[in-house]
Amino acid sequence: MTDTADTNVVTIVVADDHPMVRRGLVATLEDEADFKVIGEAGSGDEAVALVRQLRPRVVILDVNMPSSGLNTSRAIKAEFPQTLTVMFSFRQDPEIIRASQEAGASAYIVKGASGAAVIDAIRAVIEARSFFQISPK
Amino acid sequence: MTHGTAETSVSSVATIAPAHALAVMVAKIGCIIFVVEILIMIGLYGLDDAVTLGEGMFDATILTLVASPLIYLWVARPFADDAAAAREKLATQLSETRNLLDQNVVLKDRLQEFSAASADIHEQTLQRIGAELHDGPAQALTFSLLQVDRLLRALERDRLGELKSVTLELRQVIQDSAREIRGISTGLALPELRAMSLQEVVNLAVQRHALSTGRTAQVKFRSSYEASQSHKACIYRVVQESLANATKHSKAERVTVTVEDKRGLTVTISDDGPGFEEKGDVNKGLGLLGMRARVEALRGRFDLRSSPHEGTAIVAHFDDPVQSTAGHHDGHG
Repeated sequence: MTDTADTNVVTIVVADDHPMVRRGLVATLEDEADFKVIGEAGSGDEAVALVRQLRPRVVILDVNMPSSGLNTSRAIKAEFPQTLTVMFSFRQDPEIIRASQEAGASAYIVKGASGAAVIDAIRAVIEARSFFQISPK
Repeated sequence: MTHGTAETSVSSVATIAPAHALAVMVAKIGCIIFVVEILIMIGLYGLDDAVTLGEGMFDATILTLVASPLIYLWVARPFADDAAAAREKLATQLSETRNLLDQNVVLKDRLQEFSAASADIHEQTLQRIGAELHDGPAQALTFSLLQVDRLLRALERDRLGELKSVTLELRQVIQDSAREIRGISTGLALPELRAMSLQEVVNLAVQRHALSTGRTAQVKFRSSYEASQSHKACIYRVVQESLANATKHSKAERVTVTVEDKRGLTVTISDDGPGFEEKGDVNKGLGLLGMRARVEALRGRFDLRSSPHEGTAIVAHFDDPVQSTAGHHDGHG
C-alpha cells in the first residue's frame, strides 16, 4: 500500500469538483517535502474509489460536491477507519462543523483559509489532534 | 355587456310591470261596473223595465263591455309584451354576467398561478446567481489565496525560481475571474433597449453571449415587425437564457437564432446538441419556467422541442408583438 511504503510521507487524496481548487491545494501540499498528493477526485464516488485503490492516509473532501463530502467521509470511515478525512468548504455555520464531526472528519477548513492553515490542519490530524476552523485564517 | 346595461333593464321592467297591472285593473273594474249596473237595474225595476228604462245606460254598459277587453288589448298588452321582452333581455344579460364572473374566476386562478411562478422564478434566479458566484469567483479566490501563500513561502524559503510561474498562473486566474464577474453582472442587468430595433436587440443578446462565453450563434432575421418595448425585453431574455442553456447543458456546436413572421412573430433558438427526453419537471429547470412566464405574460406561446440526438429548439411566438401589455401600440408596426 502507498502509505506503508514510506511512513514518513503523508499520502493525500484531494477531492473537489472544482479543478482550480484542486490545483491550488495540490500545489500547496506538494510544497511540503513530507506531503505527497497521490490522487485527485472530482466527486465523492471517485474519492471512495481512489481510497480503495490507493489507501491514502489523509483525504481532503469538499463538502459541496457531487455525492456530498459528508456522505463520502462516512463511507470512507466505515470502510477504512484509519484514513483521516478533512472537510474543506465555504460554509462557516456550526451545523456543518457538527455534521462533519458526526461524519467522522478529523478536521474542517474554511475555503479562503491560507495555505498555512491547510498544512497546519493536515499536520494536526496526523498527530491525532483535531482541527476545526470556523473562520478563514 | 356592462353592469350599467343590466341596471337599465331592471329599471325598465320595474316601470313596465305597474303600468301593466294598472291597465288590467282598469279593464277588470270596467267589467265589474257593468255587472253591478245590470244587477241594480234588474233589482230596482224588474227585468223588463230595467231593459226599457236603462236602454241608454244599457248601451253605455254594452260599450263598456266591448271596450274593456279592447282597453286591455290596446293598453295593457303592449306593456305585457314589453315586460316579457325586457325579462328575456335581462335573463340574457344575467347569463352573460355569470359567464363574465366565471371568466374572472379563471383569470384570478391564472393570476395566482403566475404569482406562484413568479416566486419560483425569483428563487431560481437567486439560486443561479449564488451558484455562479460559488462556482466561479469564489473558487478562483480560494485558489488565489493558496497561491499567494505559496508565493510568501517561496520568498521565505528563498525559492525564487518558483515565483514567476506561480505569479503568472495567479495573474491568469485573476483575469479569468474578472471576466467571469463581468459576465455575471452584464447578464443580470437588462441593457437599454428602447432606442434599438428588434434586430439590434437580438444581435446584442448574441454578441454579449459571445463576449462572455466565446461561443457564437448564427442569427437569421426575417421579420418586418418592430416589437413593443415589453416584447423586446422578453425576446432579449429568452435569447440570452436559451443561448446560455445551449452552451452550458447541450454542448452544441451550432446554435441558430431565427426571427421570422409566421402569422405573428416567431423567435426560435435551436441547437444541434444531443437533445434530451422531455419529462414532466423539465420546465422547472434550465430557466425554462422564467422564459415561459415571460412569454405567456405577453399573451405569447412558449414551446420547448427536444428529443435525444435531435437537438433542442426553444420557440416563442407572439400573435401581436406590437401590442404592449397595457393594450396600446408603442411600436411602429
